[in-house]
Amino acid sequence: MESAAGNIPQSVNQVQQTVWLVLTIAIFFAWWFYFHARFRQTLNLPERILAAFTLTVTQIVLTTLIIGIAHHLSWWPLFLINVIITTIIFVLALRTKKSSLLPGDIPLLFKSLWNIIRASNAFAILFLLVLFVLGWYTYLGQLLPPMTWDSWAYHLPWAAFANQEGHIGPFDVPKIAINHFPMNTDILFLWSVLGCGTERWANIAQVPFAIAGMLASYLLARRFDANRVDAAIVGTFIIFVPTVHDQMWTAMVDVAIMGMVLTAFAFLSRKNLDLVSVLIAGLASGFIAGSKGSGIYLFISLFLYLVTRLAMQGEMDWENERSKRLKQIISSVAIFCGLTLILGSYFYLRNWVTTGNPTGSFDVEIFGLKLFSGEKVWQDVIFNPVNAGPVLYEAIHSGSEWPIVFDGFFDPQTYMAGGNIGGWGSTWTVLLLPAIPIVLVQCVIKRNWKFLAFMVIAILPYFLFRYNHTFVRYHLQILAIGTVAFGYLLTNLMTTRQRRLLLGIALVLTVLTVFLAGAKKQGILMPRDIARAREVPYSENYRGVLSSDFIEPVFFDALAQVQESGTTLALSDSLPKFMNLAAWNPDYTNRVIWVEWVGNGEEWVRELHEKGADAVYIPPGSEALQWLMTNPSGFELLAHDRNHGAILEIPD
Amino acid sequence: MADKNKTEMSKDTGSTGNGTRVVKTPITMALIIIYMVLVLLSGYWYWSRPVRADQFNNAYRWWIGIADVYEFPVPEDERWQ
Repeated sequence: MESAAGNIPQSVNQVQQTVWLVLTIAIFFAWWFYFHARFRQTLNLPERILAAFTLTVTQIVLTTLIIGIAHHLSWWPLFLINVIITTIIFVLALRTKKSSLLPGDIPLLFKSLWNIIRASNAFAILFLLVLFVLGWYTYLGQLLPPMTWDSWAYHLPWAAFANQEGHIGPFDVPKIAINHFPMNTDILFLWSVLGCGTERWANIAQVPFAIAGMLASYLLARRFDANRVDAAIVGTFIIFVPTVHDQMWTAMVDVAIMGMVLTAFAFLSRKNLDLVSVLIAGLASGFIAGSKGSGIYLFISLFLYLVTRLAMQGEMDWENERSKRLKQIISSVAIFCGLTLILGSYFYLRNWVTTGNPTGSFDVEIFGLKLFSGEKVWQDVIFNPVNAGPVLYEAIHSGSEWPIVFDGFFDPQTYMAGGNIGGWGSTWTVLLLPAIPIVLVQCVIKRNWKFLAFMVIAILPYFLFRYNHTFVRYHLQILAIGTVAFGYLLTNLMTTRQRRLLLGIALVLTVLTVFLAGAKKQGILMPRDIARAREVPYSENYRGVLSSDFIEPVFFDALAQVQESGTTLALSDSLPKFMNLAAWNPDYTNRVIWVEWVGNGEEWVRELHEKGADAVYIPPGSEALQWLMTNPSGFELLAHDRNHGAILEIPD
Repeated sequence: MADKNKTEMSKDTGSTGNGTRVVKTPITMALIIIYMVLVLLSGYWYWSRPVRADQFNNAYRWWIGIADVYEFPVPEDERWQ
């Protein structure tokens, strides 16, 4: 564990913020330009965009990992290394014969979209709705403070600690989620905190992944026999799933994982499974594995799909081509697994070295055999959705609760970034899910084993990662099975009249989902909150906009008194309701350390002084608070109530 | 290659799934009929649920409230602050 003493984060000025945002966009365009210049013979337009996006994410994650591991994480080193890499990519693209400065992909993108819009009124309406949903939620994400507990509890606090300490952990913080969870997606949140001195852009870091999910879903539908219009239509359904559009404007990781899983599946499904396909899929797989513990199950699924595809690739003369084919299989598997290890293994290896357990703190069992012992088991940590799980269980066993379950799919109160059953939404439940068995039967009748392999293997993690089947956000990747099945159904099995009817119903359900999403917000995000946020700059509305569902504003005011730039706030435990991010000021220029109660008042106060704490937070009903009541030690009480605890200023 | 993309695109976007590839195996046809019936039944079921009116009303008032925030002319007593 590293000592936190002595690290005061530097503030980021306006010019630096702008430069950082320009750099982020430039990285993507450099890679897009590169793939346009070098791979337009082999990759189609959506593939080139997805490849560029995957490499952008990889570049950001890898450079941050390397500099973080070297304990030199700060604005200039990260900026310079990324400028150098981005320049090299631009130069490599420019050196290609027949390259043009403006990627020809941009006009082609507009032209392709326009052609599909002209061919289908349904797609035109859906496309407008996509623009509205993307625009509205992106706007809300950068306007409002983080709106989910996970963001406040550990995703953003991890980024804040990394920014403060100059490395990527572990930190001197006794919290499993902050110290031991895999953090590849959180590195993107750190990118915003470190580069721009705000989590404003971290809030919307998942939006590009939702777009990637739509593109990948389009590619998968095309690969499995949907025509271009139907593939485009079903691609849009991804973003209308309530959990996706509710979560994509929060600093969480599930939409990012979905986007990358679908990208990997899309590249592994290409007719010609060449080196580029395996490379992109491997990088996506590595990102996923290093983003969440369940990423391991997703890796297993992708790995099985790769091996199946390699085994199925084309007719071959085994006698003549055996050695060549074996070489291809071995090298593809090695590249895929190697890239997954490079990008996805760091946090597990570090946990293994520092704690003797790759997960840091959980039991690891395979087929009942305990490989690693931990302090906790998953079931205790991942809370059960209070309504969906038991209701679904009851419904299956008694049959009496089905109407309530079905209500859930339409009920906006259960549209959550987390995952009650309503998170799947009505379009998925009514149109996409029932299409799956039809298409599975069709695959068997038509002997379309490649399609069947995709359907079966893509759904595998849902059954492998079985702790909570109703927890929607853990299983977003299975959306693509439904969209692909529905795309196949529309193109291949429907008459013109049936197809029109289904598209009409799809439009009604989609509009309904977007419209009803408003009703969910009552009590959580009211129009007056948005009005208030619009009136002041982001850094000023940061603490005050959130309603008392999170923390009472008066407590934020008390925290603000001890968060001046350069000061140190000690936490003796998590802030109320795990709102740990509130320990930092909106510019991330104060220092936060963790000083737990050690059972002895004098020793604890000495530790606070030694670590340079200027103020301390103490939770309600704690031993530390009781001790301080009788031994004030010169501490000045700034705020105290029985729900939140106390904030005290420490004398010099 | 850009030209090739263009050709592929125009060739493909003309198709809107006009039913020329419908496979009429009995199992598939039976499944499609069950599918269509289920889709229509679920629509009827939702429309007849008592919770629907509240959901619509809540959502309507929220969006009217949002429109009011951005100074669109909206009926004042229907907005939701």
